Amino acid sequence: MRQRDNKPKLPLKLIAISSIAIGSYLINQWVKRASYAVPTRNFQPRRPMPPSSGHQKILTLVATVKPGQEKALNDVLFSISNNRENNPYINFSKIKSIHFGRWLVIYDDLNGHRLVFSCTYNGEFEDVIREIADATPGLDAIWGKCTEYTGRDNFLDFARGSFMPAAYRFFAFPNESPQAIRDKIAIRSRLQKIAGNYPNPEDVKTFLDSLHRVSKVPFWTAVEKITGWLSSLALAGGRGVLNSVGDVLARFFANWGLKPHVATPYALIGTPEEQKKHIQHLLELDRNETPFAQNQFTLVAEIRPERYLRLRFLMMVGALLTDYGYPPGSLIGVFTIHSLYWVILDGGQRAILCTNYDGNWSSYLGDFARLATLLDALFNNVKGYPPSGLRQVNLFNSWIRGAQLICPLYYSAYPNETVLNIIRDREIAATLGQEMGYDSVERLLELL
Amino acid sequence: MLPDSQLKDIQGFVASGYDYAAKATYFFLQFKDQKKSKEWLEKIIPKITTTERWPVDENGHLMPPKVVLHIGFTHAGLAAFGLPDSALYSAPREFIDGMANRKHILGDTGASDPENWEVGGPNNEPVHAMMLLNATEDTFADAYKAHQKLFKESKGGVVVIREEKAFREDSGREPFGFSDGVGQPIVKGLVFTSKPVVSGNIVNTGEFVLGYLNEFGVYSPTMVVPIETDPKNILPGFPDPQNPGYRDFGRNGMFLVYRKLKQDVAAFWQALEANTFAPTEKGKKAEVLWLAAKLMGRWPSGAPLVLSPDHDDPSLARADDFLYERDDPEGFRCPIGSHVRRANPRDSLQNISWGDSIHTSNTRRILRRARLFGESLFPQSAFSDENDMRPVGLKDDGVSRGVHFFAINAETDRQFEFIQKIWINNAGFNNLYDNKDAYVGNNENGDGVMTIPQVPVRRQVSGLSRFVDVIGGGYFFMPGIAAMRYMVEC
Repeated sequence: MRQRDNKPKLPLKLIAISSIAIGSYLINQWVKRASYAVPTRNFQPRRPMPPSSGHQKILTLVATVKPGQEKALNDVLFSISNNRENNPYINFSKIKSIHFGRWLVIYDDLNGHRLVFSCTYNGEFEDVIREIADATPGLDAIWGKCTEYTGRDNFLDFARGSFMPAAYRFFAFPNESPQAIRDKIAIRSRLQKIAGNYPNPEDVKTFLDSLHRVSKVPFWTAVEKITGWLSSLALAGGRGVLNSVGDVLARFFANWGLKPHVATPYALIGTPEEQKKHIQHLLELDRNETPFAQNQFTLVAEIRPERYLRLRFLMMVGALLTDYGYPPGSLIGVFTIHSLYWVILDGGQRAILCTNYDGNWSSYLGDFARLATLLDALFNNVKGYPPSGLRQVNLFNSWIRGAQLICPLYYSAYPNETVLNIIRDREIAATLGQEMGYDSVERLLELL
Repeated sequence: MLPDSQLKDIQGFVASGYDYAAKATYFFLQFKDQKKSKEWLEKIIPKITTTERWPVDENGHLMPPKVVLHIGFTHAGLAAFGLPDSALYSAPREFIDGMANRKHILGDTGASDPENWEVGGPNNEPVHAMMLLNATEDTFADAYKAHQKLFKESKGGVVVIREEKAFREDSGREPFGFSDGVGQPIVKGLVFTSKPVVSGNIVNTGEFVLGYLNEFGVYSPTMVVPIETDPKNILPGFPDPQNPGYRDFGRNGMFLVYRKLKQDVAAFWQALEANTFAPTEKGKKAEVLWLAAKLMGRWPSGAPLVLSPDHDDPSLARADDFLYERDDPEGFRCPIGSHVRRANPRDSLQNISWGDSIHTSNTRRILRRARLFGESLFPQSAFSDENDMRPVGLKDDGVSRGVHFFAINAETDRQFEFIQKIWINNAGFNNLYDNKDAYVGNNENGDGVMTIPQVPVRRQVSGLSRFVDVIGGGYFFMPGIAAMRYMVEC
C-alpha cells in the first residue's frame, strides 16, 4: 500500500497563501481608511480625486465613401490636420471624452473606399456621438461624402448603423478619463512650479523640517505597510501566473505555422518601379508621423479564413490578460502603448488594427521578445505575414511598414504625455491624496 | 575577429579615429563625367585605408599608416557611377532621400534648417561624394598635393565643390572643453577583448558593417545588384543563398552620417553661469563646471558621473564599464536627461524591462568620429588648471567653431535617426516631462530646461537655447573595396 499522508500539501499551501493575500488586502484597505479618520495637528483630510467616468471604450465607425469622393475627403482631413486651431471643420477644444481619435480612408477591391473613424473614449455611446457632432461644424464636409450619411440630424442613427465593435482591446489606463489625466497633468505642473520657487535646495530643507511634526500612529503605519506589501506581492503573484499561462499559449500559437529560423540576407528586391513605390510609401509614413509624444498605427489585414477561429480564440485570451494580467500602463512589460485594439470587418474577412503609442513604433519593434511572441501569435493568422515572423526583423518591418496606412488626421487629448508620464502623474496625485508625512513629501518631491 | 580577407575589404574608419593623423581635409566631390570618374576612382582605390592589421616594426611597435584616406558616396554619387536602378533603389529610404530631407526627423529647425547650410543643403551644390584625407603633420602637405594632382588629371571628370579643413586638439577636447570620443561601442569583429564587460558594451559587427549578424541576429538590409551586371564576379554572394540572381553590393560597407556642427561656446557657458547661486567668483567657477558635468553626464576629462559623482577624476577619463539603472537608478549621480545617458541609456530605459533595455540600447549604437574647425575660445588646459581659467565671464569672439561630426552605422533610421529623434530631441525621454538634450537638443526658443535630480528637491537649469547648430551634412555610403571595384567596372 502506498502512503497517502503527505499528498495534499500543495493545495493546502495554495489555500493558505491566498487567504493570507486576501486577508492582507482587506486589512490594508481597512487601515488605510481608518488612518484618514485620525486627525493630526497639521493634517486636513484631502478630498478624494473626482471619480473616474468608467471604463474606456472604443468607437469605430466605418462608412462607404461615395465614388470619386475619396480624394476630396482626404484633402479635407489633411487640411484639418494642418490647421488644428482654426479650421472650419472640427473644433478640437470642444472634444472632452475622447483620448485618441483617427480619421482615414481604407480601400479594398470588394468594398471600395471607406472612411474609418476610430477613437477611444469614456462615457456613453450616445453622449460621445453627440459630442462629436457638436464639435464638428464640418460634419457634412466629412461624413457627407459617405453614402450612408443622411445629414446632421440623423448622425446618431448613422453612427449606430456604421458602428463596428472591437474584438480585442488593451488600454494602459482603462479607468482614466481624458479629463482625469489632464487634471493630473495640471496638478503636477502646479507642483513643479512650486518646487521651482525653491531653486536652492537649502531653502526647501526649512519647509521639509517643518513637516516632521506630522506623523502617523506608528503601529498602524506599520500594519498598513506590511499588509500593503503582502497584498501587492499577492497581486504580482496572481498576475505572474496569468502571464505565464498567456506566454505559453502565445508561444505555442506563434510557433504553430511559422518557420523556426530563416536567415535571409535582406534587401529590397523587385523591379525599380516596385522599389520606388515602396520607398515612396515609407517616406510618406515618415512624414505622417505626428509632432505629438504619441503616434498612431493603423493597418488593415486580410484574415486567413481557416485561421479566423484561432484568431478569435487568441483575442479572447488576450482580452483576459489585458483585464487581469498587467499592471497599469504595461502591455507585457512594455510601457509605451496607450491603447491597442482590433476591429473585425466584413464578417471576419479583414480586420483593422489600431494602436496609440509613444514615440516611434517601427523603430522599437523587434526589441521586446515577449511582445514579439504575442504579435507573432496574432499576425500569424493574417495574409502576407512573413513566414519567419518577427524572428527576421527586416522582413517583418518591410511587411508591416508596407501594410501600414497613411492617416491624414489624428487627435490626442494629451499630446505631450507618455505612458510613463501618466504613471508618474498618477503617483503624484495619489501621494497628495494621502496623509502628508515626511516620507510621502520626500517621495513627492523626488517625483517632480 | 574577422578574417584578414574581409579586413582588407572594409574601410578603416570603422576601426579607428586615427587620432595621431590629426590634420584633415574633407573634399566634397561631384562626378561630372562617368568614364573619367571611374578612371579616377580606380587610382584612388589602392590608396584607401582599410581595417587591415597594422604592421609591426622590429621593436614590436605598431606602425599605423601616416596618410589615411576614406571615401563615402551619396545616392546621387552612386547613380553617377552608373549603378543599375534596381541596385540604387534597393538602398534604405533615408539614404535615398538624403539628410536635408530628413530635417523633421533630425530636428534641424530654425537656424539649423538645411536652407541655411554651407554644404549638403537644397541651396548648395549637390554632393556626390565626400573624401576624407587625414594625415600626420609631416606627411599632410605631400598627400594633399598628390590628391589635387589626381583631381586635375581627371580633366573635369571629378570636381571638388568644397573643401573643409579640420584638426584635432592634442588634448582630444571639443570646443565646449569636454573630452570627445569617449564611450564608444566595442565592435566584436574588429578587436580582441579578453576583459569581461558588464555594461554589455561589446556590439555585434553587423551593427556597423553590412554583411554580418547584427544585435537582432540577422543581417541588416544591404544593397544588391543583378548578377548579370557583375560578369567578372567581383562582388560576393550572400551568406545564405536566398536571393538568387543578385550579388551583395553592400557587403563590408557602412553608412556614414556627416554633420558640420557649429558650437556657440560663449552662449553655452553664459547660460550656465546665469543658473549659479555661488556668491564668490571661485565658487561660481566650480558650480558652473559642476552644472556642465551634470548636463553632460561626464566631467570634462571624460570621467563618468556614475563612477565619480562629486569631482573630476582624470584617472577615470576612459572609464566606460558602468550601468545606470543598477548603479544610479534615480539619476542622483548622472541625471536621466544628461547627454550621455540619452545617447546611450544602457540599462536605464524605463519603458521596458532591464535586460531589454541593454538590448535596445545596443541596437541603437553609433561609432562616432570627430575633427574640429575654428580656433578654441579658451585654452584647452583651462579645466585642469586649479588656479585659473574656468569659463566664467566668457564673451563671444565671432569665430565660427565646432566639430565635423561623423557617425558610422548599418541602419541609419534605426540607429542615428532614432537617437536623434526619440532620445536627443524628445522632451519626454525616459519619463522626463520637458527636457531635451541640453547640449545638442533643438531648444529653439531659449526656454529649454534640464532637471538635475537631487535630495530633497530636484534642481532645474533653465534658459537653455540651442547651443549647437547644424550648418552642413549628408548621408554617405562607404562601400567595401570590392564594391568600389564593381563601381569602376559596372
